[in-house]
Amino acid sequence: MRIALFSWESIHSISVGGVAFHVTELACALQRKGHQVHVFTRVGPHNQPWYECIHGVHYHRCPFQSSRDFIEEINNMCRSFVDSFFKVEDSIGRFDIIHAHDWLASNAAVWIKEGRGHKFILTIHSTEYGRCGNNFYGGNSARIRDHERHGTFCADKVIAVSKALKGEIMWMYELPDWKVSVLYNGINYRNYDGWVDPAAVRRQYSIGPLDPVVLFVGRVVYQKGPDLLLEAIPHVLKYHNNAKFVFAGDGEMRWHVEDRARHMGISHATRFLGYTNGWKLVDLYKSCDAVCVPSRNEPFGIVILEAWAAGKPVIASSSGGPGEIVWHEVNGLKVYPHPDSVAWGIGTAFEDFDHARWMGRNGRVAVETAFSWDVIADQALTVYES
Amino acid sequence: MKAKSRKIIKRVYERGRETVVPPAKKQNNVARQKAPRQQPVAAAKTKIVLPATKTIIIDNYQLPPRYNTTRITLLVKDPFWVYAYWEIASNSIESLSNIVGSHEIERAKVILRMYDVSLIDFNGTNANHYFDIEVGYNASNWYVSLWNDGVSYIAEIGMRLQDGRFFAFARSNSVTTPRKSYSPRSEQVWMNVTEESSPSAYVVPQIKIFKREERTYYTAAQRKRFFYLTEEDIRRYYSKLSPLLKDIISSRLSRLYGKRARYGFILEGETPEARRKLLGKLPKGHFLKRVLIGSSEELFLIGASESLHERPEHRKFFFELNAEVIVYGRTEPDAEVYLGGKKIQLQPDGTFSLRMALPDGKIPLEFKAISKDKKETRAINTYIQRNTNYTPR
Repeated sequence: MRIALFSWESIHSISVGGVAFHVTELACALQRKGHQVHVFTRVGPHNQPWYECIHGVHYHRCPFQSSRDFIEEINNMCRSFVDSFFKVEDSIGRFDIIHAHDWLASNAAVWIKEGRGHKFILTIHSTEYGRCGNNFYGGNSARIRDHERHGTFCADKVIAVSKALKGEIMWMYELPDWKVSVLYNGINYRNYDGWVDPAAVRRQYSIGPLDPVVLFVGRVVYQKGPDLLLEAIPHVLKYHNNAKFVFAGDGEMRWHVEDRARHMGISHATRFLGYTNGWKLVDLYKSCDAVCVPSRNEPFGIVILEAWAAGKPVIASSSGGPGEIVWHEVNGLKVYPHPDSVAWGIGTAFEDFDHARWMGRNGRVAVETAFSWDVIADQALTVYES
Repeated sequence: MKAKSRKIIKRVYERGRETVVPPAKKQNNVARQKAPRQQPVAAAKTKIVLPATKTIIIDNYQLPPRYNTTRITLLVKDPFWVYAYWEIASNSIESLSNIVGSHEIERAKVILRMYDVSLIDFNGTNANHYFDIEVGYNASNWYVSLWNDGVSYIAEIGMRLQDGRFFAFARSNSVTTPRKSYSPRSEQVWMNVTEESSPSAYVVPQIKIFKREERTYYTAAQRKRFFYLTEEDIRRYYSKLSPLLKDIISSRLSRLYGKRARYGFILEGETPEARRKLLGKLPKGHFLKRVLIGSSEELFLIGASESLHERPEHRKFFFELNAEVIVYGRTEPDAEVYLGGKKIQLQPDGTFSLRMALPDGKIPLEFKAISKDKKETRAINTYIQRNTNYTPR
């Protein structure tokens, strides 16, 4: 099968968030299954070539005109995708599937479908409504919602990353049930193999070797609820006065959260690392005691899979994706998005470290069972064939 | 002039309310007899029994001007107007004068303080903003004009002293004024025309409310139960979590075993009796049976996960190969020999030998011998190369 993936980000061009990993890993997994995969994406920095074959996947990096209007710029990107897609198709033969990721790339696939009638799959990773913190804003946000509605209307099949997100788009964009499939995110759990000396990693962040450490990974924005974790810290410190809370991530709320930590007098227990990725983040995952995901709206929550891959229990709010994939008390704790409840979760995890380690091991089992990319690619293929 | 004779008024107290019952009028027999004119003669002859006078209750009860309580209430009139009514009992003012002194009370002003509490949990101090209206002693209600629509307000009635201190007597309920215009939500939300009640167009937060008696507390023993979950149980749970994954397994099984497998997975949603019936037909230890019971290891061997599929088998056969090299030579016993700048120890008879590991690649060996009197130097340069090719299977 010849498959074209359209995405504005990938690991091998510009990496912004979870979509980059999803697209790159899915492409690799499809390639391993013996399909020809072409990824159409933006041109990254460092003079990247416009065509490259990486791990057997063909990357077409498409240059385009920038614009002051973000949505117009994205449309330019889509036009560039369409142009290079047609060029590729004219030289190597017809594609079987075109698969766009999020509203950003959906217009490219819509136009290709209009022109040449390909089968069009659209994956929705999150909705504009959710990104705005469950709000219907006007302006550009309304235009983006129109893009999402149009894309989901034109697509032959829509993939949502969780049942909660499926419900959300079926409600907002009036899609029929048969059109939307649920396809969970995956993770390359082999990246988290191995052992590090937790004390050595903790020393880098001036944390004592035996301090209980809670890790928060994600953009520091309202949607992800870092303030909920922050407000829970005093309750935890009451019983574990050497506990440390590491915030890995950046965002518009970071200044506020740091200031609030100083205001509450708990800045000694917090570490704000800013944007972190790569082995640094993997080492953090391996050396912490629990990972906290106090999101207000979470379409899937790849952080949970990463924590499980590193063998750590999660304390996740039960809204959206985490509510579906976490098995309470077995590989993580489900809490409400409220400081008291988050504090309860952390306290319960710290109450019995043996149980917490056991939960972490179970998480690893879960990840190996259902969230490896090969399993996900298999499911994607059934959607392509359906 | 003769004074009018007083009417006798009967006062009736009924359920706390006073009603006035006027006395029965003098009965005008002539008028009464005229009424049943159509009555038959026989009836007319009998003595006419007049009905008992009906008690007419005139309810001129009026609301009392004051109840001697201190309270205030807000009502919404329209998006920009709120109506407040209140009463201040005299003992409230007295108790305040006991605190601040009567001379302060004389100069104090009665104030209606309006707190904007839109979207906050009001605790008395955290209002978005507030404003005061001087209402005076005699007013008991007020129309308050607002400049925003869609806001929440709480009012307090109290006194402001000369020095600006405010003492509230009572706090009102909170009211929220409506929008002045239509909803800002402009998306199309179509109605689902179905037999069942259509789902709400708005997000309804699903909050579970536990009743105290329904709530289950896990005992310590029940909690320990979780510890006996095996890895297999967790695999089983997660292999069935994803709806698509279930479909794949089902289709693969049906490819292998025909229709029976598909039935098996359809049956999963059915009653346990039906499942047991199907399982009973299958022989013991049957592959499909184990799958249906939930041992998911087999599911992966079918190929749902490639990485687990390619798990290397542990076998006893092995084959290893490595190489070493021995270099030896001879010179005068009193000479000095160097290998790449490093001096080599000579045997008493002038021989030397070196044993080295031989990895893949090209290894240069540069020997140099210097005579005892440093007058003569000989150099021998050689190299050793090793190439290894592994061919699996």
